[in-house]
Amino acid sequence: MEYGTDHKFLEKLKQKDVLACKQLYLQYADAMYNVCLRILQHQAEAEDALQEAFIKVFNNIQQYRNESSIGSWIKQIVTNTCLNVLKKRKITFDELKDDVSESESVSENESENGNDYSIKDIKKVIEELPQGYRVVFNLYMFEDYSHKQIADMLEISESTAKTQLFKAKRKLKELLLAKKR
Amino acid sequence: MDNIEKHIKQHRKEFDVDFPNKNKLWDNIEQNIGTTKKVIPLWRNRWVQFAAAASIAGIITVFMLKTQPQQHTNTICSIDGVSKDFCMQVNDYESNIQQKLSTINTNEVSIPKEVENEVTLDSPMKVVLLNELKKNPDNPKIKDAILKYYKAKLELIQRIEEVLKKQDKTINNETDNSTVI
Repeated sequence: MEYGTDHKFLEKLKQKDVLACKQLYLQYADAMYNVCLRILQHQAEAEDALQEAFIKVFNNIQQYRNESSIGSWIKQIVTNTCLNVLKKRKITFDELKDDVSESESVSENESENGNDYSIKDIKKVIEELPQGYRVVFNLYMFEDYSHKQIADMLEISESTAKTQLFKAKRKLKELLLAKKR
Repeated sequence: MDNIEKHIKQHRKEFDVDFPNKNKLWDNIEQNIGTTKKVIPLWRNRWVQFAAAASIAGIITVFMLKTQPQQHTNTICSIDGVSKDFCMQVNDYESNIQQKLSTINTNEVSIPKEVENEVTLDSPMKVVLLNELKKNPDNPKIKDAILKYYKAKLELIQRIEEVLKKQDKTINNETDNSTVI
């Protein structure tokens, strides 16, 4: 069920009907918790951020215009809330170095087979990535944001967002290979 | 898209984890968003209606059994022939009811007069049931009727407790809102 198109349900949310609010929360809580956990890598911080985000969702539901799905709208609020927490941690994003090119990444990619690694191993090495790499990697790979959207959210250039992703993938492969040996 | 990226996308769901504190977090969120609940007048509540009907039925029964001598309410456990299990079940109900009533009283909330007689442990209906039990201490139908009597009483008290809590919460919300204005 896509709530964004359900006018009656939306009206109830705007009236802060407790059952409607809870229904919406239960529909998205699991997915949004995972968004927070991937960004913050800390259970208690993820829960705090999720709580803050859902309070924002319900207190600003009047601003939801039904232009996108309500799920996307909620995810945007949740992601921004988590990124604000990260900004307080003062993460840094390395600029693209001249010696790194996209073609280099392609040749590396072709030599690797993703199926060689278990989900558990990949999860583990994602956690080991430097924070800047990890955030961009997660936003791109798991939350399906574009480089442009990631750049806007993190207030960095699009090329920096691309570099971070490239470096994250390269680091991820290095760590996976090290694990394999 | 490289192989690891493909691998991750194919197994996307496996990267998600369960959200253990989902319900607890909702309680926190609910407290912060000022949700609204429909307040049903007490007299429209089906438990109150049930209580009123039970009360009328009780009075009629008492009048019908008027010929029998009125006996003072006694504890069920003191009746000869009553099994230990049944006695324990009754004791559990009685202590539960007493506990709930004292909680309501300590919260300085008064039980509506319309249902006051229905929530107290002793009532004309109980006298009738006890008399029947004394005559037939092993009769399962009488035992079942006694347990249903306690169950209905307990459910009624729980329902009243909920209604009182809702009323209290609504008053608090209204107070909060007027403070903001």
